[in-house]
Amino acid sequence: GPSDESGGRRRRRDWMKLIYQSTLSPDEIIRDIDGQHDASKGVEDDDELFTLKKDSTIGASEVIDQTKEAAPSQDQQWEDEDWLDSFRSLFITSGQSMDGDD
Amino acid sequence: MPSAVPFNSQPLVRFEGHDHFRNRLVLSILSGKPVRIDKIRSDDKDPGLRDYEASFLRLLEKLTNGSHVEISYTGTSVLFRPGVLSGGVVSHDCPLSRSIGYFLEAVVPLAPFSKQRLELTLMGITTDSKDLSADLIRTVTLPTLAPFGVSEGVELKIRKRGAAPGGGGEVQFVCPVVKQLQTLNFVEPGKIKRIRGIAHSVRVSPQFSNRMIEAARGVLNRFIPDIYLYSDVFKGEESGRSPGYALSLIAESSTDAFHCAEAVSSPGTTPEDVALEATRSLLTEMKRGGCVDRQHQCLVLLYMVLGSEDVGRCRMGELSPRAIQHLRDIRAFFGTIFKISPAEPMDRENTELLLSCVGVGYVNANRTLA
Repeated sequence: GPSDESGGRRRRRDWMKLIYQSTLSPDEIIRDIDGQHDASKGVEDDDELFTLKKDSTIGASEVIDQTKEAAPSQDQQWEDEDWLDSFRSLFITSGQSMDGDD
Repeated sequence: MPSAVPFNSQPLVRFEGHDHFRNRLVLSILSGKPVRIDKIRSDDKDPGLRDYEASFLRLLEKLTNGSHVEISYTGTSVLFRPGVLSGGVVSHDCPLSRSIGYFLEAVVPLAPFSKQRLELTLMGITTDSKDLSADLIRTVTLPTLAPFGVSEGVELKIRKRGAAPGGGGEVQFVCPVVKQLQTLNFVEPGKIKRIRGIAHSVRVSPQFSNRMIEAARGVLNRFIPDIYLYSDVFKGEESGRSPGYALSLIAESSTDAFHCAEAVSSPGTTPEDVALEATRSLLTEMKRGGCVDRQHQCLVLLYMVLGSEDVGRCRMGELSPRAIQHLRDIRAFFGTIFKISPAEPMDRENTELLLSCVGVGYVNANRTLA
């Protein structure tokens, strides 16, 4: 698990070390990083962007060799205007108002 | 310099488990190194290869000359000695346990290195929830190859659609050969300038496509005016054996970065549910950033390795678990190690990465000079 969970300061992951020098599974590497996000941001549902299998479910159902990942959670944050607004900066139109177009 | 011609003296690369089966066989063919995979579901009550994995091995035999496959009596071990990619006219009936995308995802990176232009017809399920659909392969996977110099004459035609479980779809993938890949230098993700989409429905009311489009627009219209969602209705013979519908969405950036998402109907869902799932997945994917779609990280990493003997660079969102394993497998076959660093070292909230490697200068030695 993340060693700096209590600290407010985020430490950069050394991806090269994790990938090429550790024996952690890819899921363990990702989970470690997610845990760190939780601790540093204090955003509870941040990790729901990454739908990971919890330990208890691994082995229960077969891991499937597939590219598509599970859909984001059906959280009501998607009904939240502030949450939707957080995507605006990704578009070339950010900075302009799109309201009143329709 | 690695050659596409296999030598019997090449060392055997060994793995355990059924996961990453296709990627490992693709790496074996491209590197010319034989691969042995053991413990394939050895603890499962139904041990060994699944029918789609055996079918994938048969497809590889059709696409190559001189490949040699040995499967143990229990099906839990496979030894694959790669032959030479031959290309040509190939046809394959995909089992209904996996969609056409399962097969195409692995054929796409191989095809340009064939001896002859590949004309591959695949029959089966064209869209499902596990593999990239024929639509996403056509609109995202193939354009993803363009910066590597693989674009002219590459096409995927969806002749018939086939939803799960019955399938009945058919696609044709055409890919000319290339001599060598161009070095990738893709570090500017840009901003999303437009969204495209394909809403398709087979053996259900054609209104379902329009309902998906309406629901997706309900979310996306606030962000950008340049949205075109196409309603693609296949009828009669061309609509396969089972009812189904799906929405595929593609976001294109000002620097030609693509991000995509898709949702597929399942029992109990409405067209609106499917549209919202696809839309939310697309926004989630876009937020991860980078210059390539998360579902195409493995493909881009592989092609960076095969590039000319120069430093290829690409900015990606946080790596998927599959991409992490792929990086390890790439090292096992090609010895290539990527340099991975934060894309924005000063911005601690940013999770994007800059990946770079020196290409192995892979040359298509099979290619027939026309």
